Amino acid sequence: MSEAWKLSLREAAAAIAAGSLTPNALLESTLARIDAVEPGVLAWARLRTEDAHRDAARLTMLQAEGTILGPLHGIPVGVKDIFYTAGLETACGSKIMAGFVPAEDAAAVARLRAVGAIILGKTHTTEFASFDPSPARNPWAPDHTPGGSSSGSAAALAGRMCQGALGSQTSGSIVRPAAFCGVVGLKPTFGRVSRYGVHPLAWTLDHPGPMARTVWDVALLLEAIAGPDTRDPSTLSAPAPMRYASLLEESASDGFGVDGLTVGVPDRYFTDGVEADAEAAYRDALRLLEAKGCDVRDVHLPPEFEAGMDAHELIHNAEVAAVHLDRYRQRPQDYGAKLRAIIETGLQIPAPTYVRAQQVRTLVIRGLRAVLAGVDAIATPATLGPAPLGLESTGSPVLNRPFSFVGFPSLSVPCGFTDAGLPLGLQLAGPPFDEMTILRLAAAYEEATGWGQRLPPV
Amino acid sequence: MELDRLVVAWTRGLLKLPTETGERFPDEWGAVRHHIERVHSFPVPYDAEPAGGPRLESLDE
Repeated sequence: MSEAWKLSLREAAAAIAAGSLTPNALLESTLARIDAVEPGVLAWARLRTEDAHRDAARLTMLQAEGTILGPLHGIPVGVKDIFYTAGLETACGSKIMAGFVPAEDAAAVARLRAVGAIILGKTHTTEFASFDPSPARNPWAPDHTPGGSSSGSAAALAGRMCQGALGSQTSGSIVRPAAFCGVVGLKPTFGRVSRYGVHPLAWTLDHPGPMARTVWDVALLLEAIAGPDTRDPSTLSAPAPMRYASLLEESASDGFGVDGLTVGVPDRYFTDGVEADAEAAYRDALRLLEAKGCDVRDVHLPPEFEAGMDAHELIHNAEVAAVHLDRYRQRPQDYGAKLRAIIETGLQIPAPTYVRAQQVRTLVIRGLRAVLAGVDAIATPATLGPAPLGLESTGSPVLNRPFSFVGFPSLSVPCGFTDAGLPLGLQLAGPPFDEMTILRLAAAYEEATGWGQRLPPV
Repeated sequence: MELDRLVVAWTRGLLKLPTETGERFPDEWGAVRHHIERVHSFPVPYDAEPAGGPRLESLDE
């Protein structure tokens, strides 16, 4: 199968399980695709081609013996370069970390390997997952940003250079690049996926999560990486993760069970500054959900919501400053301008202000919980518009930040294209630990529209 | 809101920040100052415990 790179993760995994595709063949096809596409996209910080060949050979041998390690057996995956990878440099897009080779894998990486995934390489991140851009380009238009900070993961998926990827979000770093690149990205609930071995940006806001070409693929990845980990206490009180992909399978014949779900449309904030084509695509998506049987209704955001967005920025800057203080003291000149500004301003935030910001966070969490007690999910545009022109900025995370702040799950699913051919995304968010409902809604939407099936002109 | 420059200087010394740090980012500081003012002007009840308390597990687990 010379064009196996075209297969979605789910399709490739099914073909491998059925014996009609080998991990070797999938890897060869994927590497040929990378040779053809990568020079114009620059999604990868480094590839582990030889090791991936070794992994694929071992997995092919196991397959021949009738052993399938798990749902991701032989699937090539890209890993954002802030996730530790044993024996493979993890530079975090930074001069400071260049040459750092971790001794062990991040929890999410180890879980992917355990179910048979092949770690194909490290995808570009903005510097320390902040705002100084990486070299990655948007496969839909190379002079446009792919978004950030999970820039390379989104670009690699859009360029069909891997079947799945890991990203992380502190403000909008999974959902935004997924939307800009026309792929699916899920920011799980805080505590759903272990942060162990993921270089922190801001401890209380960081969320590792899956990115892929389809909703189903994201569900498969989430199933692999979710769950408690004693090395990340935030995961220990979380309810057990679900069999996300199996539950999608079971509900597929019933339209993913979205008939009768209630979808909230926020009364403010989420359409402020949204460009006309993005808003039009959003309104179309709402109409489609309604046609699928969803009860789409207005919801009122809590009064403290906007103060919460101020609080997010303060918590973010203060925690970033604390994360980087020791290294910044030693090598300030090796930090990019955007990150230096965050650290310097973070250093000036008084301690009582940080505490007050965390109090405001409590109020916003309470308020949004109340909103989501009345609806099953919230739908908003994923971004203010398509990927902006230029590579100096990764675009605005303002529409994604609220769900990073409260820790509730959110995702982006492709919801259309601009006249210029740039993708747009629909953001769906749900109550804590209910990733399943937004996956079902996104799967139903994706099946009805198929926006994610288009290939970029690379 | 004006910064107390003596206090800022003392804090920088305490944190052992070298002289090549301390770069002024007036636009970014303007935004942060605005966020600080907004957070402090928003009424917060005393019983609103800050998010982010310890997440503990029993020693038996």
